[in-house]
Amino acid sequence: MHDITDKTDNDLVALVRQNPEALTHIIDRYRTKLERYITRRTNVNNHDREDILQDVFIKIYRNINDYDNSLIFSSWVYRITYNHIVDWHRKNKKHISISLDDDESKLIHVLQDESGVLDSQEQHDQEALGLIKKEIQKLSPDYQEILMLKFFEDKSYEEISDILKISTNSVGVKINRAKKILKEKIYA
Amino acid sequence: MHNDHILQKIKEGNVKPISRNVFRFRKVSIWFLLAVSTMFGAYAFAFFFLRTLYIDFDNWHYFASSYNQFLVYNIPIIWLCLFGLSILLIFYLFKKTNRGYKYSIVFVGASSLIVSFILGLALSKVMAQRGTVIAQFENERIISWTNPESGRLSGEVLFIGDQYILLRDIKDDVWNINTTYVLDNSREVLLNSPLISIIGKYDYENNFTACQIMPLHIDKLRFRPDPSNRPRLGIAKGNKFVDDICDFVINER
Repeated sequence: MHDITDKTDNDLVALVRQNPEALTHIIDRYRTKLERYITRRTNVNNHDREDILQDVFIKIYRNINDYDNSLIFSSWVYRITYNHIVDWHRKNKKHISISLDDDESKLIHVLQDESGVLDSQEQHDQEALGLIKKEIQKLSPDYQEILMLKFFEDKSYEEISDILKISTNSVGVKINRAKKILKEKIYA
Repeated sequence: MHNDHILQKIKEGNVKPISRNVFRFRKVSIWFLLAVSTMFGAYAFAFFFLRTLYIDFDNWHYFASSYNQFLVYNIPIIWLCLFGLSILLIFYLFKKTNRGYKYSIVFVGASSLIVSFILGLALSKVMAQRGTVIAQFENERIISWTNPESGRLSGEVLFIGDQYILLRDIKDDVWNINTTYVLDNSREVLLNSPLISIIGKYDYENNFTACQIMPLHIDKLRFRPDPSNRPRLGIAKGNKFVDDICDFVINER
């Protein structure tokens, strides 16, 4: 195989269209990110997560001809993953709740910056993290999803818009609304 | 998870990428349906618009006991509903296009409404020029003015006498209209309008007493009397408003 590190996502897509074996490069590039995303969105054990991930990559392969170069490939990959997870939740009749890692304190800092209620001391961060986790899980699935994509997956408004297939305006409105709800609950 | 696992599963399951043509067909189908819905919306609006233009709003009191009742009987509600449905369909299909989700609900909703509206106006102009739909609406208007028992009669003036006129109605029946009681302005109408509508009282077979004569703004070339024409039944037989006018006019004269 050639060196693929300098190849763009679009180059890889073109390769996969010619040779299915090239899918392995897309898997290498996205496996870790998608594993983390799936874990956060489903909270399942390793075995189930592997199954979901495997299905997602097969879906990516099956739909590779539907990929439109005007879209960021990573957004398209996340869109497929997101849709697959929604289906998975529907089939398993499980309520969508996200799982948060301890290192995911970005949202806390955002809330701190905007409200100025908490200072940035570590003990406060730890305390706030627990509270935020609890409150995020009480949010509606829509808000949970959008907050996660923005603050944990570091996606831009444009990318979130492409992943969830909603307008960038709606993304902005939902993020602000979710942050407002969280702030009201946390700092009440 | 090893990458080989996935590749192996793909091979074993003989999984293949879905053909580009399938996706192309899906996209083209959505755009085709979108175009059809837009044209249908435009047609529905054009029909609604033209039909509404031919509603005799000024003379509603001759047709119904209340303005609301008149609107219910005359506004083409079905076409309005079809127009609304096509807007919803356009909205749904546009959101299903590749980039449809990029636009806000308000933008898509307003755009579908405006596009259908503009196309509808253009289409209504074409339909009006062709005249077939207009002829239908004009015919309906004449028919609505042909209900002698309810005090309404319309048609073509055949002869103008001193105290009477002869009138041919839409069913090709000739009526003797007593014009003794009509005011001077009604006589002017008779001289200037080949087609007229009359408010009055039904006397007996093919005899009618006129109380008021008004011009019927319809192209005379499209007035085609035919015995097979069936006038619509009156909404309120023996319209009190018409009776009052006639009693007043007859008593005053």
